[in-house]
Amino acid sequence: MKNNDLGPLIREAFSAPEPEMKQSFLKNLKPREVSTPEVVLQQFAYIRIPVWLFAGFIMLIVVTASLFRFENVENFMTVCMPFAAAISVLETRRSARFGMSELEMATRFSLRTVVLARMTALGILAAVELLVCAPAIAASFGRSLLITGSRILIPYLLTMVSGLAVERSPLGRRTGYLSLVIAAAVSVLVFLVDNLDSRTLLLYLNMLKHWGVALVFVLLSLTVFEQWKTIHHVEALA
Amino acid sequence: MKLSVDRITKQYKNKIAVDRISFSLTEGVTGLLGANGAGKTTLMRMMAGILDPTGGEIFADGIPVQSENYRALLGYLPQDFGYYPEFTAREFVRYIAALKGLDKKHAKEKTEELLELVGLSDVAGKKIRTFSGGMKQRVGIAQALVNDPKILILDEPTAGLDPKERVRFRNLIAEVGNDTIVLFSTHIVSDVEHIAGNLLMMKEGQLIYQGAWDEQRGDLEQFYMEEFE
Repeated sequence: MKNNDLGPLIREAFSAPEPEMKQSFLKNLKPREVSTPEVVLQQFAYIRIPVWLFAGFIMLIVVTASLFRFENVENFMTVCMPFAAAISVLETRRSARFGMSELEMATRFSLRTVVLARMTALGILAAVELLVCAPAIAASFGRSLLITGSRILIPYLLTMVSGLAVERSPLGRRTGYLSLVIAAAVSVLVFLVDNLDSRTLLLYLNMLKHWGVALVFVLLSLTVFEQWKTIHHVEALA
Repeated sequence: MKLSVDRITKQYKNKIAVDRISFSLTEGVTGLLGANGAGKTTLMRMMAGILDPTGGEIFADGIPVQSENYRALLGYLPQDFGYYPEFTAREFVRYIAALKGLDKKHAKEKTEELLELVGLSDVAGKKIRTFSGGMKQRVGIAQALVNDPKILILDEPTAGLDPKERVRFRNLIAEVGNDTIVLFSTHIVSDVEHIAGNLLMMKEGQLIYQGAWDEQRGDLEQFYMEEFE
């Protein structure tokens, strides 16, 4: 008998036994540690395609338009940012809207952790948008990065603050899409400031020059506060 | 493992939904019977850690219900559950697996195994929104088992299942109950009679019976009808 023929015969004669108590063994394994960055990365995978498309669309338009020096690109960006904020706000109510809260609450991480991770993922996405678009606009038109950054961030943060507060209210929970209405209102306001007359725009830009960073800081603090309130109440409101 | 429920109470304004209930469970299947509004769902939600009790405590081998370690042991199927509209059955179970801390490889394997077990492997890639009620319920059962739970809480799991699916479900739960604490609520006495070695019966927020059914008390269905009608 050749050596090659021996292998299958040996395997047949000494086949591995069926595992005994496999389920009990698996149940007694200690659950693996999961870090916070891992939970955030996990939520990145579940951000919906339209959210990615919207962010990608804004970045593509702004970068391309900046390269070709289209004057209205900054106005376009400021008008779009409230909708990017509204999408983030709507994500905080997504579990409740689709009846997933109870299931998510009973997993290893609390619903608070899931929503926090989701908001962090969307916050990172918004930060990337800002970091790509603001320098592109500022460099193309020779404007101050701080003023351009403030112009983009203020409508975004304004929508975040009011959207988060409104979505927690009974009316917001009943209607479900109120933050989109707020985004539209902020968008119209920004559009009017940009286009109504040159004096209003100059006044606004002058205000941003002196107080833009401070205003962003105040709105950012308010956004963090509203996010904390939303996360704190997310399980009670589910 | 021992799951202890100690004088658990839930009060909503002037209504007591669950009134100082105490019991303990070990591995095996326990049926929770009671009419609508008896407090079954409230009790189960507190045992799943998603509703804070007004009073009392719940522990699994000393691990409190509010802790991450408790949730790591838990599988839960709520009475009504939704799903993100873009999810297929496979994506849904994998999503819950990810939230339960399973690594990708294990989640993938376990998802396929469970979808096979509940008879959905051939439609695993289809959107849940196209499923019938019974199929959705089977996806729910699969997600509850994805982390090999030591405690499995199922709220009305047989609702929406046709008779064939119900028998299949009973067999599955009986098998899981060999090394898991399984608590499932139902209105259907025959579900309990077939697989539950232990019984909890609730009425108006209180336990009116607990333990194995005592045959000397007669027919369980008869007892149930007398108590709840």
